[in-house]
Amino acid sequence: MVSVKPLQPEQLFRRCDPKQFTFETTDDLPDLTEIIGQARATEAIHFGIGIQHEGYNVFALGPSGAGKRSLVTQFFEERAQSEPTPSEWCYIHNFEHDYKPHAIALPAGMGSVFQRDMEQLVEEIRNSLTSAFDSDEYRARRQDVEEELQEKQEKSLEEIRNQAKEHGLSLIRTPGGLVFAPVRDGEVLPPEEFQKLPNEERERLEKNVEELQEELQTILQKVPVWQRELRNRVRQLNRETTNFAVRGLMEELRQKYEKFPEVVDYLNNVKKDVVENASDFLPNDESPDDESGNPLAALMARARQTSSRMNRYQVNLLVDHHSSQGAPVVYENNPTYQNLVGRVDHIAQMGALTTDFTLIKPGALHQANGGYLILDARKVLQQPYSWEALKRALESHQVGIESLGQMLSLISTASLEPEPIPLDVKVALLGDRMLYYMLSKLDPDFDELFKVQVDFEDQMDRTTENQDLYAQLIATLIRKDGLRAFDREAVACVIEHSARIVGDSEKLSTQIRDISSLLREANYFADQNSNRPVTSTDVKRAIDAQIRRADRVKQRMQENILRNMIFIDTEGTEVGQVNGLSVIQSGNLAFGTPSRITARVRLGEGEVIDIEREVELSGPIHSKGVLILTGFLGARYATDRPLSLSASLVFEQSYSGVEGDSASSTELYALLSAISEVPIKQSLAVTGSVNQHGHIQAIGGVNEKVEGYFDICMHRGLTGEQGVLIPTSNVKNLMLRQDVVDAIRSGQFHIYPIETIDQGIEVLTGIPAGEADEGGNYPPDTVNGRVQAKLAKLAEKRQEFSETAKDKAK
Amino acid sequence: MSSKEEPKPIRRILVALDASPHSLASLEMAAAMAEKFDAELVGIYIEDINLIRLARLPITREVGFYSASLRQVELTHVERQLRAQARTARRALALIVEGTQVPWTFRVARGAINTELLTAALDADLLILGKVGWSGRRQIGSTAQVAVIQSPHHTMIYQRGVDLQRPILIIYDGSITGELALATANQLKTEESLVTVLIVADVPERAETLKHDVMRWSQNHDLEPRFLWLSRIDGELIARLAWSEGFGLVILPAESGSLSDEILLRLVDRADCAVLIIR
Repeated sequence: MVSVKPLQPEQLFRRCDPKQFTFETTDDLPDLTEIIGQARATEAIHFGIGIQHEGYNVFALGPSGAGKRSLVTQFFEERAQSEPTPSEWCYIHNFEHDYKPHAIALPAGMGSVFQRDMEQLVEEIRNSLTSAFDSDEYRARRQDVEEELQEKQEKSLEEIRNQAKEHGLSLIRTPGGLVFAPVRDGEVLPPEEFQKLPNEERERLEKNVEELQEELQTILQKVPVWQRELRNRVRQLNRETTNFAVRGLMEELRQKYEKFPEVVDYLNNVKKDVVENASDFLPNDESPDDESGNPLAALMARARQTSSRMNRYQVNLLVDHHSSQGAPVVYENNPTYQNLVGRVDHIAQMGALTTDFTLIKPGALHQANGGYLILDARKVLQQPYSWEALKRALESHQVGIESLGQMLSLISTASLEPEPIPLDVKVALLGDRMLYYMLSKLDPDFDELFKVQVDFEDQMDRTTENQDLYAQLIATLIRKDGLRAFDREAVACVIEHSARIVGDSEKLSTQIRDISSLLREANYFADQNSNRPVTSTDVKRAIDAQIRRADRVKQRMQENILRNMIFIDTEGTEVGQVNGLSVIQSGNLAFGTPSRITARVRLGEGEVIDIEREVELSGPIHSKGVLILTGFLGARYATDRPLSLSASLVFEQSYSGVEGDSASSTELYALLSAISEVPIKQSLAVTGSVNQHGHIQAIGGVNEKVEGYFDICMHRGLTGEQGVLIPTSNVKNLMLRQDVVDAIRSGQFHIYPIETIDQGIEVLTGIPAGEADEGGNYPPDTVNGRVQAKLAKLAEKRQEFSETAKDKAK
Repeated sequence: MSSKEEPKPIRRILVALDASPHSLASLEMAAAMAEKFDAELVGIYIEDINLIRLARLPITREVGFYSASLRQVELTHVERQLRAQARTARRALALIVEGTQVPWTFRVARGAINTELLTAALDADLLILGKVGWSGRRQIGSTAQVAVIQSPHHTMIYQRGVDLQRPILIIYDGSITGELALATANQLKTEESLVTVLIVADVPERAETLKHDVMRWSQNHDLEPRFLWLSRIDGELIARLAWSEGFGLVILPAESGSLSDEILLRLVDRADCAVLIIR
């Protein structure tokens, strides 16, 4: 009989000895300047930053909380400091097509200067033009021009008025026009008196009226022509005056910006425009158009028009680097389409939405242009059109602003088509691995644009050196969060917990977020106890509190077992019944719980029925495990005769899906017990998968499984017989709770490392498994022997049935 | 010059409205003055009897001012237009005084405009009207001419764009109403207003005497004017002076011996500011 010895307490939990540390508290430790446990990621990001070819953007992949953003930001910022500050981009008015604003680049700091210069220029032009147009010279010349027209008009009317007077008629203004009427003593002749006039007189008056009307029509038809002539002359006068007033101001600016041809072109256009629209700069005068309309509406319309016209000379400084040092590093927390590529705002005026180039707002790509942009890949993909916009910008090397409403033809409000801005940016996307692999598989552009894969490790080796570095990391995180110092016992406790997080006594977690949370929470308990510094008690309390906050489901499940709502025996023996162990993930907490697995056998045709699979409650891996059992049974016990049993396996009281093959060895034990009719100790629970050769293979969640069964046994009272069978290959994963370790140390609980099915069945039954002789026969008083005998018996019976059936058929 | 004479208080201001831009602009000035003098504001719209008559004449046709087209003059149409103008005037008046404490009334009269206006002006202390009406001409309109010459009380001829913040010019020749002009200016001035007194005197000695009179009066009434001197009054000259110095209001005494109707009309006609004639 193979003897399996239970594990020793020191094999169940690898302590971090505080004595290995030379510090007293974390205050004694310097900050960690290197990135630990992420050598691959560090190399990749160095490469990603250094290489300056198209498509070498970075995708940092790894689990959430691994410190991807911190690492990428740190490297980008270090690099950005030594790089030149990029140009500033301004949008300016396009005087030819106002819906297509021009973009111009100026050296860092010059954009804001140019913006101020233009503001000042407008103010100076306003003052200069106000003075010029208020000058006696201008007023006199303008009055002269206007008087000329007025006089021409009035003279014509006066002439006709005099003619009318000669004929006893008067020219009278009505609300809509002019009328000739016979008058007497300055009053229009009453109709009754007109009727009394002799016929000849009436006819004469009528004839005169008709003639005068024709003449008046001729004069009035000339009025628009005269007015146009007046406007032209006034315009010409205004041009001359404006030209003279602004020439000096414009020349000064042109000289200042002579090194920037785009600015000089713009200034030339500004001058041309100012000359054409000098009236915009002047205090509102009353134009004839305002006379008939609503004065309020006219006033508002004029104010709106003037303000909008003045906007033309503004400079929209899209990206301002005047106080920046080096290249920008931008993290966009909310990468909506507009936040990424910028937007054009609208303002409501008198019920209508209007816009101009001053309402163009930058996106993260503008802000990061010439530097680095960090984005959360999931957020980018969740935002409609953001991913496509980002790819488009990276492919075309330019950022164009296009409103979504326009793009999708959802709105017809007037909008702009700003000139695209050349883009030179290194983008880093942060995301989990699944996202990276999906993008790589499903998006043909992805691999072209994000060629640098920065893969973050979940865990690192737990060497003595790394434990020292880990302590430094803890000290750095503590200082960053402004927490109390941790003493070395507390640090050791955190390191132990880190190993427990990854479920491996030889590894440490690189999930910085989880460690940071634990530090903060331990600090909280230390604050409550006024402990200074934080001790291991505080850390343990924080860990317990984390579990406590999340273990409602676990408690309910344990309660159901303890109240015998769910049947789990923890003592005695049963045939064909084994305690399996499974892990349940409830939010952030994973916990183990036992399940009863039973097997029944009868005469059959060699099939093992997995009831879970039959009712579609099992996943493919579980089904695979059960099929392996059939292979094992056939190969071991029925090489020379048909496997003539029909077995059924079930997870009792399981009402949801079962997945994973960690129960396959358990199922096999139940099956062997059922076939051999050898009872199994119910004080033991089993985990481990099995292959066709009967070797026990590693499973996940070993700590949780052991603790889950231990909790049930402890509540019922430890008998000293109870324990768990685990795969030997999982021993190095053991980082068990202290109470479990203590129970094992006192001999009240046991953990058996199992390598083969034979070892396991011996521990479970207390009967030797038995070894086959040369003829392949097992000793009869062993488990294997009994199984073999039973299967042989079943085969014979089947043979008998088969012959009887043949005889009947004859 | 006696400082005991106080100007007759302005309690009722009549504003003539024909809904033309100039008359509506004068309304703003009238409301501001009513508030300043704590006076009642009376708006009047006069339906021109001549328009009614000509609409009934068989030979009259209207020539469109902007279209130059010829059309029949319908009585109903004319009456409708007059009613619409009256409504516009009333609405403008109500809008202007809204939010102020100024008491106001509005009425519509029908008849010969000049006669009706002068009759209505008998009950008012101050008549305000636009320099031109619907004619759109630059010269003073016929109604304003009549008001300048014949209005029984103070009369203001107003032009668009003028406000009381601009400097005030007072013409002073020692006449009885001269002191009233000073007192009115003193009431109308704002803190920012500069007040200039134009002394009209044929000889320097007389001018000096008048200046002393004004200075004495000013000391008692918290007025700090500057002085100009002209040996004779000339409407054209004063209009040019007002233009070049940027005066917003010229106040002159109508009873002055040196101010003939002709000079008065010429001044109002040529000036590009408001003119207030004190009677």
